[in-house]
Amino acid sequence: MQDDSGDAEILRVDGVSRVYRSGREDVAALSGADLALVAKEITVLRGRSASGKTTLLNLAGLLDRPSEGRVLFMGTDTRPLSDRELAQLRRGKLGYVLQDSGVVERMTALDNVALPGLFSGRTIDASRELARAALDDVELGGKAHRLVGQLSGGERMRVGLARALVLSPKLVICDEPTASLDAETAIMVVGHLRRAAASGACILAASHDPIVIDQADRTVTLTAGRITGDSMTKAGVGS
Amino acid sequence: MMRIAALFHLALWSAFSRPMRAALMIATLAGGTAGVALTAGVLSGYARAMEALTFGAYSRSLVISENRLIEDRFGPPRVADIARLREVLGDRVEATAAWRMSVADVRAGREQTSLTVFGVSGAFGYEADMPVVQGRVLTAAETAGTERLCLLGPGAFRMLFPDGAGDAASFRINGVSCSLAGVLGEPRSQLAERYRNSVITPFAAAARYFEAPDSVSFPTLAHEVERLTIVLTPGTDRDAALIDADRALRRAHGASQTNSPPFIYADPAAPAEAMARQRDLIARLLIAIALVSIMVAVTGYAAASMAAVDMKKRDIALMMMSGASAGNILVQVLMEGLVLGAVGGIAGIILVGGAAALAQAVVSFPFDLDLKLGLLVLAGGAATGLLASIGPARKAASGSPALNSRS
Repeated sequence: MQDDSGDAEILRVDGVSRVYRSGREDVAALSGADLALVAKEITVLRGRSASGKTTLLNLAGLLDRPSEGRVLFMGTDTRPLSDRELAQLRRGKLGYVLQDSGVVERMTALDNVALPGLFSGRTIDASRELARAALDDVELGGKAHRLVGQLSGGERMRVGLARALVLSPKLVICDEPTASLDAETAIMVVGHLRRAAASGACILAASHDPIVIDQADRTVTLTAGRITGDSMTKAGVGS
Repeated sequence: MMRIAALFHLALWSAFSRPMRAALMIATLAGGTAGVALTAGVLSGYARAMEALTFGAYSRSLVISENRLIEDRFGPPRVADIARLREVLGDRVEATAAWRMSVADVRAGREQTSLTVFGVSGAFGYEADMPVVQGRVLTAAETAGTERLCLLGPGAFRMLFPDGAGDAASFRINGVSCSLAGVLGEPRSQLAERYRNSVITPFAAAARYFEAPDSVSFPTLAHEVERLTIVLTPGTDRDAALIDADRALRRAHGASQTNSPPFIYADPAAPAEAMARQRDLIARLLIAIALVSIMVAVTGYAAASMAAVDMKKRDIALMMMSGASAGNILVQVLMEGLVLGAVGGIAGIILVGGAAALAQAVVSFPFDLDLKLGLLVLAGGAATGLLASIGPARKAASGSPALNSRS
């Protein structure tokens, strides 16, 4: 599938709603969301707390299933897929960057970054080889064998970033990727995301950080579970 | 498809990333395995001890000797009693042997030693269950004759002939010469051990070695025997045969049919049967202990593993976000249980093996945990870990990565 600009469509969200059960009440976290994401584009989700950003990230990241509507990933309708098939679809094609870095504690930086390789069927050696290269990219090659608990917050975030990007995924889901970082590290992280986008990845990030928003091609605003704004930024128009 | 080696690598990491928790879980499983190892070791020890007390066809024997506990003694049985018993018992008799024994001064060239000399008439191989490793065995006719032929046990042969012996070798018993017919090999039963350092010679010939006035022999008279062995045919009612034999011997020796028996009828199978009863009693107790210890291990490990899964649910969610399927997580937790179970198994075996070795230094009891049994117990420990991991594994695999990654 192609969009107007000619870039490949990576993700399409069609009329998606997500309702959670809270006691005896149904709470709609997301209602009737429509969104199409293409390769090489950074899209930033904006909105207040409880506006549905995380819900949309979970659905876009194939970690959750919509109550209504459908999510298509690289042209595949994910509704009829089993959990196992969803896991297969995620494998190597999706990367996640979490606010708190999302690294596995008590594991070395190298083994953390090797996880996607291992789960995609590569050997331990091959996965570590890829992980070494990814850690070199984020300038942590010298700390590959350190336990992540021994690293600083910024370093942990870079480990998380390396793990998200190690297999060159089609879609990178970022939840407040710079919220707990100093400006210098935040710029470095966004720079890596920008490079990933330039090499073909589609980036979907929830963020309030101007550093991230400045690099976005597009911003989508959520209000009370609904998409209330969707606009191209200067960077997006320029590209 | 994720490689098994990679899953195993992650299972090892998951098992040992928190050493204190791993130690606790291993200790729980070691307790269960220790119960099983103790049971298996003791039962195996009993099996070995009973094997040593099982003497094949000899176990079906009536071993008749003088009853020295009665006031009016009738003396030892006699050689002639064999014929009487054969007549009374008929086809219930498979073989017979009459024995006498003495301790004698034995010389071969410059070698001299004191050995037990057994005189036998009949089928001695049931008791002296040893292969012939040199020369030949004595025939039934030879044991019934007077020719001075001898068989040497392996220990006696080494003492008398340290450099070996030729075909025509001979030696002297209390100064009387005896031709070496054959040399016996290693005893095949505990019973046969008594012939290791001894001489076996025809019954009548044995009496001649002790004709010297200062020699000590039992029994004293040439026609008396120390014991008679009546090997019964398979399926024979031993009690009925004993009653018939006792009646006939009382008649032959002029003993009353109502007084205490003049002879003792030993049952070679009795020690093994007594040990079997003891084993059955202990087995019931140990199996109960093993079952309880396995149940405690399974529930303890499952509870600890369930708590561990709760603690690790974020790590599990992050692995799912990195591409792990629910099946990968399930297998990983099961492998973790298998690994910790195996380590717990080794710990349990070492614990029980060490404790048994220490205890055996103080008090003798049957315990035998060999490599094969050890591996079996180890496999049991691993299976226990695996079994106890099923619940936690299912719980781990069913977690939501979306919810748990932010917990």
